[in-house]
Amino acid sequence: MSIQNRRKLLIVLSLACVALVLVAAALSSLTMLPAQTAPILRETKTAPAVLDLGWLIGVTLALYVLGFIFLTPASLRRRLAYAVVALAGIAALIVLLVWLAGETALGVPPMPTTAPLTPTAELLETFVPETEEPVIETTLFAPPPRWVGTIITAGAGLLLIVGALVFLWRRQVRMSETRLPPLMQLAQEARLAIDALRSGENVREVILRCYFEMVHVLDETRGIRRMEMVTPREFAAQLVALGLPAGPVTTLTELFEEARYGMGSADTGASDRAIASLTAIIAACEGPS
Amino acid sequence: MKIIRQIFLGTVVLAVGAPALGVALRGVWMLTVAFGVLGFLWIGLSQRHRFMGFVFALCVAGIAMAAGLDVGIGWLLVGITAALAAWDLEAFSARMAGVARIENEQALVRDHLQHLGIVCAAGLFLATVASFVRLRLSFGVALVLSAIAVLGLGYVLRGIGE
Repeated sequence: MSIQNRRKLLIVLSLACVALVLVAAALSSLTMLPAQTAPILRETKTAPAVLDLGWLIGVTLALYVLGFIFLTPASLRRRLAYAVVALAGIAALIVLLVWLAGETALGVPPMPTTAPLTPTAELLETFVPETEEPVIETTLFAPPPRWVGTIITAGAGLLLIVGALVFLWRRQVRMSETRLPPLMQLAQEARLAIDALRSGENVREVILRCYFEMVHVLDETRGIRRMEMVTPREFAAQLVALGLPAGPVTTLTELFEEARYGMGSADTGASDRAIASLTAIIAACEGPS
Repeated sequence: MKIIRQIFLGTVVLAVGAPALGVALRGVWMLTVAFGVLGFLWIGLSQRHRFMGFVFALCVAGIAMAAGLDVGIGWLLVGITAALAAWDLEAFSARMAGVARIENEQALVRDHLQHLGIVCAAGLFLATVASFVRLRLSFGVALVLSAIAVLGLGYVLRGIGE
């Protein structure tokens, strides 16, 4: 990392720390005020309510996009695009539902109006003009319409179902991973490492992680443990004995040694060599041998 | 590696001991016992890294509960700092265990402990400052500051990763 980058990071870190300390210092004076009915629910007509909701969703989406752009690496921004499109679709659906609900409410036939009363002479004589008194506005609590409850309940149910499905799917994937033979496991780990390398993750960390995963796979499946007496070179020899190609394994081992014990930072050349080695290892694992 | 283990045990004792003492002084014996059990659990599971996140989360949750009971902030600050240090040391120890032979091991351990010490001291200092300074912010300012903190820390972490 260059000195300029370090300085920049240090400045940003200092700013973030100051902001964090200020927010933390203000927490002690945090006061919770009683809830107020949102303007959306106080509105009797639907059009302003839709506008408010639209603004709310728009601002939320904008903040979400900004946060994602700042927090995600460039390679993951394609996923951001999908997420934004999906969120925009959901937001549009909610706005449509609100609008439809408002249309339904406005579709209720109006109350019959009576003819305006005309003041008689007696009434005009006895009329006493009202003195100006302060008008106290009272806001009565208006329970939210039924569709709000329906949407919230449906949303919570949907979230629960999706959460359960994701949990079961991940569990299934994890179980299926454990059933794979060691070489296939190794291939899978190598593929994940390549994805991480291409997505811009730290080269040194990826090389180390890939290597440790290989150690883990061999420990779990073959009982080969890298104890004190096993050097990376000896471990590479074991991998070759398992049928992996000698060249890529040696290169990866050297990269590991360089990343683990070397003092310099891994360059882009190391990244390319790591990708090439891992690709070769995958090809060897998935081959007929 | 022995020194790492010893410091780890010390930080675990601090992580659960300080909040336990704080809640004991408030007379909440149930939580005191819970912290004690958590300490034994933490030390017992320390060789199995998969459970460390869960134990650490339990410790943080316990400290958060203690904060809700008006326990002295000093106990909690020491507890949370020690918990973070213990978590880091356990992860460091697990990474070291995955390597057959480490050259200049002592220098590596010394550097890591130095960095950890600096981070813990800085964190403790900032948290102490934040707990003694009284500010009153409007919602908008607090929101902006929070956004700066979150985005800034995210930027820094991403920069370090790259």
